[in-house]
Amino acid sequence: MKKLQLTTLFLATTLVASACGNSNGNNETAGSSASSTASAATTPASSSAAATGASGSEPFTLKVSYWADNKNGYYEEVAKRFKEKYPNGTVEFNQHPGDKYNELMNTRLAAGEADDVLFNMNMTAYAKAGYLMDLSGQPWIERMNDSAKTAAQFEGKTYGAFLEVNTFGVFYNKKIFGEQQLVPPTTWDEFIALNEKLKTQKITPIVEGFKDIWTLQAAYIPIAISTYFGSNPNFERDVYDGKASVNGPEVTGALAQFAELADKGYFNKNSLSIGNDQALQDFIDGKAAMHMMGSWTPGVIDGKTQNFPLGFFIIPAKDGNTVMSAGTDKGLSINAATKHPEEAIALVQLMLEPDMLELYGKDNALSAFNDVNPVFANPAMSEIQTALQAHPGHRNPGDYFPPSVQDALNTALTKILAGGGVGDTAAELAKLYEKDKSKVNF
Amino acid sequence: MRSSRSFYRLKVFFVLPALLLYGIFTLYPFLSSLLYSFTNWDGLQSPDYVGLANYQALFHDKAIVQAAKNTLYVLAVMVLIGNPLSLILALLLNLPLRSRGLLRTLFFLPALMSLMVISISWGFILQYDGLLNAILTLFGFENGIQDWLGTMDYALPAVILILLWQGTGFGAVIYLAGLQSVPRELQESAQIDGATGLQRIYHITIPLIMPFITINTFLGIAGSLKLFDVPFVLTNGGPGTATTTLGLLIYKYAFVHESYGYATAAGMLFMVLIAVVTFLQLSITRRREVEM
Repeated sequence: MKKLQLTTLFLATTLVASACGNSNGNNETAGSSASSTASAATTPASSSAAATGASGSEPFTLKVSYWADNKNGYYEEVAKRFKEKYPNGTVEFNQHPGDKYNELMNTRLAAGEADDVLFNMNMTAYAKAGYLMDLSGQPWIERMNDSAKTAAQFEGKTYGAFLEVNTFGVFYNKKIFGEQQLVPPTTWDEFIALNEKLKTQKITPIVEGFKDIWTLQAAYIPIAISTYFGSNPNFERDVYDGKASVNGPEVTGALAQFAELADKGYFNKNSLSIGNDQALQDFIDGKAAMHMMGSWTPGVIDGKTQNFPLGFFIIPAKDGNTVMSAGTDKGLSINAATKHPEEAIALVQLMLEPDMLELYGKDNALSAFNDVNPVFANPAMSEIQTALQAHPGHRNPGDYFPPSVQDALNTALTKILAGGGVGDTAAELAKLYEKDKSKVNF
Repeated sequence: MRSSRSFYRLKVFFVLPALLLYGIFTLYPFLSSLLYSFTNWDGLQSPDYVGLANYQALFHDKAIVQAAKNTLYVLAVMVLIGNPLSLILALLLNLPLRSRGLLRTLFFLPALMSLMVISISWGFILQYDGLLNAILTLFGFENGIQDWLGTMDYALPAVILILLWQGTGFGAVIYLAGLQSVPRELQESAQIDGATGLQRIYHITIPLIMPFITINTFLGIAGSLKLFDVPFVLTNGGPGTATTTLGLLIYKYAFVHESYGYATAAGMLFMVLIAVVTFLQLSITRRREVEM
């Protein structure tokens, strides 16, 4: 079941993500300062006094699609509170597997059969196609952090919220590191050296479950985030504008560093034949010293074991310009075709109330809302937050690449892992980029 | 006159339900697909007409070449090895053995299982920590251990072996039906004339079961060309593109790359290819069929 929660990576990676901008503040899009007055004209019916909920009105049901693991009873609590407010209303939460979530949503939206409220992975693509309600001017927008605000925008209008911020890095077993007298690396060479030392000690350095395709990005992002954006925070925008190329040092560098880890045998030998659940279990069982994964990992580990000596570090860039990934995750929008727009707006507002989000995030995820500070029992979570404060952050590499490029990249990574080498991967990705450029939404 | 006309109407009336279903579920989707193949449809927004652009791009698509190679490799093995294997198995199962019934059932069993179940089960056998490597270790062949589905060289052969394991018994059952239709007196008179067993197979059995060879070859070719499920479940076309077949690639173009128009165009060409290949095969093997 954890797989569902872990598929968040999908959002971060395999999709053409959304509106422009990055958390470095190098934002060039119009509407980045989306003042609510500018969009007031297009603001949908306000959610202030939803008279529909008054007693005596027709019973109604709001359906919500989501893919995340249901932790902490968040969804039940939402349904309960909504019922208190709207005795005639029922909220129905429908969970779908994360790895097929997009296909399902795309098909349902196209067929006009999507639920009223949609957790989704490609907000801007849906907004562009006219499937989402314009939520500009909603009171909760101002509470989101900048990267979530910009990610939720398309052509200056806001189409939803993001519940989480995710980052990727290396989780390590402090006990093994202590026994081998290893410390978190400050340079790429130190990282290679510690892998080498572990390998000579017959300890598997890094365990991953690459049979689940999305996990490839968990190992790629912590490297690529620095090679893509370390020296040029606008790399993906520049590719779009023709000022940089996918077949340049940013992508080839990331591929080469990934290949170095693979070719030197630092990943578990069975990495292509196990899934993420087993990889995480092997890590918990001490069969490997490190596990490259997303920031939800401490919460997952806490659900499986007690007092695991978990630490976190990020992979240092080769040239010293280390960047940390800070992707938005768990987009929440309203279907433009909903028959109950007022009620849906009220429901989303309820879902985004600070105490509801605290419940959602508890031991689970970093919040994309400035006024929400979930409690984390696992100390590794504070290591993640410390690292986030200490390094420049950037949205995930590949957020502005077409889905075909991300898929071809994953395919290339499996080839590298199988000993097939890098070849002319970057050149092929560049060709695909040109072919499907229309699917990139800035 | 009148009666024959009303009889004609009656016939039309009886054909109508099937025709209606065919029209709704085959003809209409096919024609709309044809239209979509000339658009840049992405599955979300309304499609724009792009003329022959998709078809032109397909002819410069390197990924298709690789997938076609994989697909033809599967086809060659299934037709040139799998098919004769089925025939040999059928000949053996046709011998007057005591356990014949049981053996026939055993060999036919894999054909009754869903390919999904088969793929997942074989996945457990072939994975790095799987049964096969455990057996190899047990007998002291640690050096032979591989991640059978995770290496460029072994992944596709592994997929093909699974297909052979699954398909041979099914083909054998079809051949068995054929073998039982060969008149015994022909075999006996040949035996009296001094023909050896192999001569009898070559000169009497094979010509007489040619229709069954036609069917099995056709099923083998069509099945190999359309191969999708086993690599989809086992390897997702990987590692790299080692096990990506044409069918799997088209699926990826649509549902992963969200290039539905392009994928539809690829599907159209794919259909033409299958039609041409199977038509050629049928016309060749048909010619060799003999009349009793």
